[in-house]
Amino acid sequence: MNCRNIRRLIDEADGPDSIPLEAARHAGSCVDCASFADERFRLRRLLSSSSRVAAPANFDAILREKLAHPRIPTRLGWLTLGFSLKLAGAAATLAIAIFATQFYQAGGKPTVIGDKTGANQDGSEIARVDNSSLPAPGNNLHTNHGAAATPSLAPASNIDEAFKSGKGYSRHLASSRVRSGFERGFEQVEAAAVLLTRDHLSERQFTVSAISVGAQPIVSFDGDRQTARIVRTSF
Amino acid sequence: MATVTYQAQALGLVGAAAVEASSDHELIAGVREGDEDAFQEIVRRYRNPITNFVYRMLDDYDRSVELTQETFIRIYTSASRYQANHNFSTYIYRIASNLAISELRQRKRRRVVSLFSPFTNEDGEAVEMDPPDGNALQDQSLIDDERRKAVSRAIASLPQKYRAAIVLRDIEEMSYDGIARVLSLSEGTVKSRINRARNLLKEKLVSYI
Repeated sequence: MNCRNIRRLIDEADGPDSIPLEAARHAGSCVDCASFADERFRLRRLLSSSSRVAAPANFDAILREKLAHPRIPTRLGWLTLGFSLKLAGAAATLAIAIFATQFYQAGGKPTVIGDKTGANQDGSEIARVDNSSLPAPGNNLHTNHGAAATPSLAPASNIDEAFKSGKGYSRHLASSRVRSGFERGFEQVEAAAVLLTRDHLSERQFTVSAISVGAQPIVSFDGDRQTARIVRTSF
Repeated sequence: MATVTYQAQALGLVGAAAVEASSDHELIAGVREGDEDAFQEIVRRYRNPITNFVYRMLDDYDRSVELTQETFIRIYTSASRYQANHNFSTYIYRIASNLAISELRQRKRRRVVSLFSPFTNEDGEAVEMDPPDGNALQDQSLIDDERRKAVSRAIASLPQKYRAAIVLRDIEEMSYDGIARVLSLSEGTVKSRINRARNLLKEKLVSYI
């Protein structure tokens, strides 16, 4: 039997007196195994001699009290603070994921609108959005009418006039009902999206992607390029 | 009380003496029938060993006492489901061991970092930073106190899977067979873990051996 097996027997012995005879004989002639045995039993003596702790004096009284008044799990016992925080975190993560997905889908590719001639049937151009609150990069406007400088918060009467005359800009807040004059030109406008259009868009069909979780797109329609794009997201 | 007096009656004992003379199996049978004295006797027999065992596992006395009480509560509430296939001591140590291991896992999830264990070993377990102090201590009580603390810290720094086995073997002096049943492991695995734990402890306690 080699030293490795001897040491295993020594290690598994209950004590110095219970070492198998074969291992004891080997240890008597092998210095390393004798040293191993001595070290092991001193370690075990150290561990077993370390002071033991005892239960406190009031252990029985506290136990009796706990048994007399057991904690009854409530119906909403699972609704702990930790669980609530985890739930809130998961909901926030889900909301962000939905928003990111919709934002990517809505802003990642321009939507071609209308025909490719750059003009609708009555010859009016699709107007660019003029909104001073929008960032410049997506808003390289060119205007043909004096009303082009109309701010986005123009009075409704001016908008109506511009709409009726077929010129200038109209502003439509989609959260309100779509006006009858626009119903032909717009398929659907989602809540809170801001559409700024010029002239009458009789045959043009487009859809504004909806973002319903904490953000609304502000879209710009480029009549010359026949595209619509999101220029900003409003929270 | 009738259940706990089989052996006691043979010895001519009655009352509290009869309860004390009863075996663990007789006591748990008495608990099952609502005998409060039998349960009290079980608590008296095992409160200190279980408290010590859990304390060695957690190195936290207050929490150890709480988990020991939880152990007895589970014994009491599930007495009707107890089956006397093995020793009662195996049963109660198993409950205590499971509670202690569960506590250790929760602590690991909470990432409780000990000031003594800022590093981890290859198993991801906390490793105690406890350099040996070469200065001689003059007072024997200080030496004993230091040795006791060193042993506690060394055991507490062991990986959890080794800790239960070494505590049951070298502190509670349980047999390999008993440890295997408590931890639901094979005897070979228990021996291997104890051997590995001793090797780790030898390195940590080299100055005390």
